[in-house]
Amino acid sequence: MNIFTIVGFVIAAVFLSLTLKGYRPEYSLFIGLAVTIVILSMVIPDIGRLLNFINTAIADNRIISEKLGPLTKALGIGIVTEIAADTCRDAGESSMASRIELAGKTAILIISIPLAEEVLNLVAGLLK
Amino acid sequence: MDVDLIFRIAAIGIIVAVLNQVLIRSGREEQAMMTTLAGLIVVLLMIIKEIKYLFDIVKSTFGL
Repeated sequence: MNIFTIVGFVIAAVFLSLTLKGYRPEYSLFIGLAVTIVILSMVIPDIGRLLNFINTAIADNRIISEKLGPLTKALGIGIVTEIAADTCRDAGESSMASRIELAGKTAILIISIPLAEEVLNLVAGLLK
Repeated sequence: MDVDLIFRIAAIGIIVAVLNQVLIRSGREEQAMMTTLAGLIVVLLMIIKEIKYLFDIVKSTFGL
């Protein structure tokens, strides 16, 4: 990932998208999606490296590293959901964007059920 | 990841827009519409492959 590469080609893509918006508005949507895909495929390997670093840094602490799984999954779901919602919003379909966000929030909550159960058990244990 | 995906899509968009204008000026509205549709399908096919690639790397990175 090189930040100058990303900035340069995003500015070029913005001008292309602006040019095409007058003639064929749907292509500017495609360009936005392509920019998203290119940038994320540059950034996500680096995010993976960061996650690897965090995983190795806390590897000796079993309790924390077990809790990290749902967190990274929620991060992935959030990224994918945001891509879809932003694309919908660019196309002017804000209600569909809200539905996708609802689905993403539900998926993240479902993933975090075990953590919530643990917290509830802890509270119940303290109250006993 | 190849940056020229964006430029390919923009080029297809410009070509389709020009073809569309030419065909409409020469009074062939149906063919202009078909050209638009064909360009759209071509770009969709290009994008769908890349979306699958993106989802694959997201899945493998975040362990989904």
